[in-house]
Amino acid sequence: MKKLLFLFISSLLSLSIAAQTRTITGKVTDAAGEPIAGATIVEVGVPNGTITDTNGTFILHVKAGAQITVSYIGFVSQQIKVGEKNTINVVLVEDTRVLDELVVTGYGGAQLRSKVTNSISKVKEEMLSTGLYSNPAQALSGAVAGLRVIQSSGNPGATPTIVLRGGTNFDGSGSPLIIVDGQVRGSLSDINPEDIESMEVLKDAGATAIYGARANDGVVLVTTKRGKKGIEVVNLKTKVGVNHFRFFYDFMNATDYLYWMRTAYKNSTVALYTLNDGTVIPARKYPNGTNMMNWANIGSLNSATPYGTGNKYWTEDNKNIPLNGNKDNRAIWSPMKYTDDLAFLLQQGWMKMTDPVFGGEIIYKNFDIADFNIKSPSISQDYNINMSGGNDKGNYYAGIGYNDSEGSAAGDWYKRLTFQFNGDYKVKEWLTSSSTFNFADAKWYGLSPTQTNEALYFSRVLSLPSTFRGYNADGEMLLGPNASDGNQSFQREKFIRNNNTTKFTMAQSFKIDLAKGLTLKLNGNWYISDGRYEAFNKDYLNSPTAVPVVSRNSSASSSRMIDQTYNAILNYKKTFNDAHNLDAMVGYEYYESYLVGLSASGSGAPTDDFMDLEYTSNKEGMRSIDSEHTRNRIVSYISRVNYDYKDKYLASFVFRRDGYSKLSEKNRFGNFPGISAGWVFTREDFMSDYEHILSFGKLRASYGRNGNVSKDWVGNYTVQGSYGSTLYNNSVGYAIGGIANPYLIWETSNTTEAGLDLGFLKNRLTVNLTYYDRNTFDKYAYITVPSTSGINLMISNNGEFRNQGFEYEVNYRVLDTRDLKWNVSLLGSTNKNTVIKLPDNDLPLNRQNATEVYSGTNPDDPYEKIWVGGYQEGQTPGDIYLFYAEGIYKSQDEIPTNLIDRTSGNNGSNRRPLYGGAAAFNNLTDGEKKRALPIEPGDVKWRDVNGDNIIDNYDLVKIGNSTPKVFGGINTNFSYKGIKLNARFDYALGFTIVDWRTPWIMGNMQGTYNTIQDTKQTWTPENPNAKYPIYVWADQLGKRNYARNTSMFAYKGDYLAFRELTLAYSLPKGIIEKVKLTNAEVSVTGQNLGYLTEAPHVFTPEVSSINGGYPLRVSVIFGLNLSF
Amino acid sequence: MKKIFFILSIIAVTLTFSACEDSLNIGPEDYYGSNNFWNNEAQVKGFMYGIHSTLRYNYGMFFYLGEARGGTHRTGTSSQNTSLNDEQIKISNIDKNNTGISNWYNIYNRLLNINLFIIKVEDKEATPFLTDDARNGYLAQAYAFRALYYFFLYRTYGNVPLVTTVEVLNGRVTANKFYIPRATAKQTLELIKSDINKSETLFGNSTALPSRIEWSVYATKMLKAEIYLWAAKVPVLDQPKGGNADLTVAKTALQSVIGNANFSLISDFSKIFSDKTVNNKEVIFSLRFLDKEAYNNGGEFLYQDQVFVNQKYDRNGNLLGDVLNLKSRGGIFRHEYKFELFQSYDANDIRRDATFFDYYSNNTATEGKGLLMKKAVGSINSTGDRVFDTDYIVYRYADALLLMAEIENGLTGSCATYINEVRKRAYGANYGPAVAYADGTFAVNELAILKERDKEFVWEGKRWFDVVRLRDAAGKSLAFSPDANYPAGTPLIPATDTHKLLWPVDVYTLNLNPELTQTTGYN
Repeated sequence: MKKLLFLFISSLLSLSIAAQTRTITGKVTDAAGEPIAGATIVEVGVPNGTITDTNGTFILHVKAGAQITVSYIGFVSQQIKVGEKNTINVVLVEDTRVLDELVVTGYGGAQLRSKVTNSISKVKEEMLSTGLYSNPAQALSGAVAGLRVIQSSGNPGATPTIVLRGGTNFDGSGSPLIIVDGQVRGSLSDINPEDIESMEVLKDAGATAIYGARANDGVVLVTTKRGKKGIEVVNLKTKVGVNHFRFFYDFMNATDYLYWMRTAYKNSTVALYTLNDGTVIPARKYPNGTNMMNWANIGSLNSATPYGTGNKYWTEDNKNIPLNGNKDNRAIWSPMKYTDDLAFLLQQGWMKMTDPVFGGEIIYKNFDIADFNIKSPSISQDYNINMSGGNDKGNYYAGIGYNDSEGSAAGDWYKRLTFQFNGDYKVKEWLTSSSTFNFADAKWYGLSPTQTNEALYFSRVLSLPSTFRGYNADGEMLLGPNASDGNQSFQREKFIRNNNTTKFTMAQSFKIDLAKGLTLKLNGNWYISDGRYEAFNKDYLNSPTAVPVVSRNSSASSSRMIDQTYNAILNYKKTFNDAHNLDAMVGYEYYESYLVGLSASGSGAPTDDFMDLEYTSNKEGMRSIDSEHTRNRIVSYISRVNYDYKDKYLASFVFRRDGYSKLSEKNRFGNFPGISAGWVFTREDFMSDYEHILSFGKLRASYGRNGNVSKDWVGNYTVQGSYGSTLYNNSVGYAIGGIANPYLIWETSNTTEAGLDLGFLKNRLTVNLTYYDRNTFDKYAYITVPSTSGINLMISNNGEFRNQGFEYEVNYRVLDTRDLKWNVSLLGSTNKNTVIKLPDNDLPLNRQNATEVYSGTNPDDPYEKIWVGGYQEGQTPGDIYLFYAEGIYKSQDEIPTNLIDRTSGNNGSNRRPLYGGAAAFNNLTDGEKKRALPIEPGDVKWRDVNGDNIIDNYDLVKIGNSTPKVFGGINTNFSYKGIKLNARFDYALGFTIVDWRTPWIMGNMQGTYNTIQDTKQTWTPENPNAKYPIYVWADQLGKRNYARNTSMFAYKGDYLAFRELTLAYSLPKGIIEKVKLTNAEVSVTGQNLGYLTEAPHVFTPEVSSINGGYPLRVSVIFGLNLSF
Repeated sequence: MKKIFFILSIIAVTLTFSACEDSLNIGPEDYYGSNNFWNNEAQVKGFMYGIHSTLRYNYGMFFYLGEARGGTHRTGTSSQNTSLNDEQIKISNIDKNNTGISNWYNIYNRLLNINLFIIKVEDKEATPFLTDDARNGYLAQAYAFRALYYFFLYRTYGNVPLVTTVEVLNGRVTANKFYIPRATAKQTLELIKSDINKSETLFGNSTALPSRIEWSVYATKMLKAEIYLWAAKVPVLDQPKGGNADLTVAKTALQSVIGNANFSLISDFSKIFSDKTVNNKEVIFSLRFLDKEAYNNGGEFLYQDQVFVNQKYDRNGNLLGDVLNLKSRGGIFRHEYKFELFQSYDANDIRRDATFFDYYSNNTATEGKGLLMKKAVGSINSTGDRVFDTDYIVYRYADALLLMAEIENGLTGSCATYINEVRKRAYGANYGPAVAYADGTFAVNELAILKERDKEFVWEGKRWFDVVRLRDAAGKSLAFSPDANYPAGTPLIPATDTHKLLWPVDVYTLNLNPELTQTTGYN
């Protein structure tokens, strides 16, 4: 491979350059005398030029009498006659009137920033080069106004969720179209950030209409690096990250666990029991004198459980042979009644305590399951070598990258190898050929196959009781109670998982210069995405007492998606009378995506030595095999016109017509226009007096239309209906699958926006402000149909949804001198989502999935209810309604004697009725009286919204909304000579987080597992002012202090994420030049350093509904970049 | 050169324009779309398998609608310290806000396929490839399935919307197209009777039993007997009980099954559920569960190792290991039968230990009494793993005998013969006059039949319907009888709550259809 690459590159390089007649040297500096590196020096009229080095110097061979042009972005170009001079020093003057940055607009188009009339944000290479990203989307956090990046998993192979301007779906979802070098990609995964030149985010429909039918959630255009004329460089980049797991729960040690768990049992026991000293604790009674219905079974404190004393150290009959906890489940947990024959364990780190319930002594051991299941620190490595070069005829870029990241879960890893080659060559005077080749090979393991659920792995599994012995008497690791909740390192080698995706992009384009300004570009893109997955289970233990599972399941699947895009683009660019600039384009595109897959599985091989499917049992039903084929096509007509008059009055028009195979024939074509205009008012004469203050000002407005046939709603053949197949006694059976729905049409978005781009003080301060209003109509929405129809839901086009918001970007170069530079930028956006219209269902506001709550505002009718939540016309989705916890009852007198609680609870609650006192008890029905429980000190005081002394499912209070109102980022760069300091933050404000996992833990809902330190702040008779309600066993089977939708674990979601902090140092030129280097930089970066937020136990505040999950790893990354 | 290149590309592009728009017409490559089905008999036959398969997916209907409310289930915390499921249903604590089940238990979704099948197969132009015999055979099955589903709805809700068409495949779907009111109970029963009689007629003189896991003429006879027995004894809203006329029809139907050489009681009670062979003569119709194809929730009636193995004792004080060889595949213990039900068995009744495994938390069998239910224990598959693939038996021969006992009790007052036939198998060698049943009064017989059915049909989805159908001396349902409960003493449903014989409709379903009304008594 390497040799081939070298040959290829060399052939591109071996373009001989004709002999020259004279040599000039010189230096390019700015007004302050600073050298300008990378300035272009071109001999006028001939294909000859060079670029200044880091000292601003250049050498160029020119013909006698030549003229040269010296130019650099952001400066006014100069044309100089060489004459007889051998040395030419040039001082470039900053061009303060334009913000000259080239912005990519799709289909080969590019526009100067100063002329852009749309919302297009550019994420430059620098943003991608500081941290260590396994996925370039991670670098977008807080980088673009209006773009929200949600990193909801710290798994190195995870793909962040990207949502632009609130999303076009009712639930606020909807991801932008991702296009990499003209090729549509499903996500940004498996792309090496190092190969990316820039990412443009097209936000308004005036711009995205060019991508028509798939672009109503915006477009992310990724452009990979290409060689630049005159810069020949080889870069070596190394990054090594040390990643720490951020523990978001602080579980109790064994001593505390035993105390609290056993006390919890006592707290939830209503039946009679006897203490060790013979004291009899009588059964609790109802006001009518009968015994209370059983809740916890206190006898279980003597059983072989994590908290029980029935565990064994020795085999029954021999006090010399220890039990093996991998064979006998009485030897998994450590607590035992202390006896003298166990005294030796105290020397091995075991401990002793007094039983808080019955009295007597318990011996036990402390162990943290995280020792087995969490890898911290884990190591990430990222290596890149790339080289680029170019001249007048051609240029190339080649990059090889390797990323190897370990996850926080033991055994979780992700490896990615990428190769990118981009080459352009001017074959003929009129013909330029461009080739792109991209290869990415990713492999990963993921979480342990016995626990693949991230939410459970990092919450439930870590709550495994700390009385776990960890090791047996022989020092071997123990599995724990079962494979899914136990030690995930115990037998991972038993589970072979080969996950591998390989993606190729091959693109070839020809640009034909037909006439001056008129070009035809023909492109062909092939994108092949292969996935190969193999899984094999060797014989493994499912729980310690069982014989190993010997089913030896083996499966293999492989799929290939072939995407082909062909387009022809005719472009015409001309300036008339030095005033009218025209850039026009028409094009045609054909796209096809075809997926072929084959999968097979089997089990029952005679041994577990080989995963080869050949060895699986061939008995009936033991093997299965399947193949898959699915295809969709799009035919498109594209056009765009950009026009401006003297860079002052700007206008742009785009139009696309798309035909999509997913829709039925008569609804297949859609038209998507976009129009935008701008006025650079600072170019008007009347503004010239203010130029020293307001150096640039542009008003812009746009309107456009996009479509969407979301794959979440409409599959390739959805509208055609289907008959699904099933098996009955190994015979193939059929049943109605999907209902044919030829009536479906495009979902359509109309976006209007207006913006103001301002540059102050020679553009040292720039401000961009944008207001947008996006209306998505004919939205895909389920209409709910009475199930007597045979179905429950039908997809239909009849909703309307609106995103409105305001985006701001402020960039200020606070200091800008030769040695000292400081830049601060603040960006963000506000967004409001409103449901405008829903399918007619004859219900008020056509509400869907709404629930009723007491209004609590009508004095005449305390039972008046209102419909809230779900989707309702005119409302913002995502309102959170919860039972409002007003505090904890401190004493019995605070509890109204006529208070009844008939709520349902969650987590499998058994809805036992609760009563405040005898008066309430007497009001219960006969059935309720048998199951009721008393409300007592330590229980939560819930808000009785309608004041009827009955807490029921309608006593809910609005706590907040799940979607942030404001989000964005703050970036600052500071540099002094060779030292650079960068910091990146991002934030989201104005939303509510509900933590569902912590109440599950603190409510002891698993019934045997550990709890967190916060439980020490629960109510006890000794601690009546506690923060949390009483700790009991299985709260969902009791009084639902935790097991209901409670406000107690709802928090303000506002967060500030400390995303990145980088300190870099470039070694002085004097030193590195001695070793032939042009640049050498060392850096240290802290990445994902944490969040400033209110919720104490969330793995991330980036999602609003928390059930536990994989936190982002706190990383310290050491980097070394060398260029020569 | 440049020009040629240009012209060629323009031509190529233009040519592809028109061709490409046609290329947008593509259909599924791996399955039938809505346009290429109902073209041959293999598809019709496959669709009938599909109807069997969807009934299997809905097998929970037998347990939840037919048994769970019957009062034989423990509630609260189990003997394994797990929380038991569906407490509200199991104690009949249902009201309009707390309906226990919802959406008609998905039955209308199943009816969609059956209605489509009937329409297509009845239409000779739509399915011209079918012979008359084949057509009648398929229709006989389809009508019986429809009767079965509506019979469940009738017993559960009384009167329900009656749907026999497939409007959802007829043009654009809108919600208001399906605003259908509940028919009367009378109309509901009429449809059920009409469907089951059509099935019987379409089967004609056929006496074949092609398979015990596919609907046969005998399954139709069993269902018909059940329907007419219910109609005879249970008044539902505006539908009074039918009395002897219906009992006679039920009896005639059962006579095709009882004594038929295809069926008998098999001697080993425990084999009824473990023997999946075609020769299990006990089985009249069962739903096939199969490793890799379909599993049931049998694991929820058993144990997980960590709360059972080495923790519980048998009745002789032995510490228990993996006593049922579950190989740690047991689910979380979610359904436990009342210990009183276990205690109601005679120790010599082999059904007791074939159905249950009793265990205790101490070695003197005095504390922490609990029951595993063994009927759905499944099997060890060919890779040595435990799988819960016990067939769900809808009708078996013992059911035919006990239904006949009940019919005879209504008609002639003599039912002991049939009860004793079942007891002979239950007691085996220990059967004798001491355990034989002797006819008593109508009410005594009814209660005896109930208790016999309770012992025989644990988990088989019978108990709730039995207790509703069987009568006391006053002609009232045994659901109101203190004697029918476990433990005896308080009735399953207080006498004042007569409406609770039927189930309420959940708010969500009511809200979706403004024409729909709540079940009588729940407002």
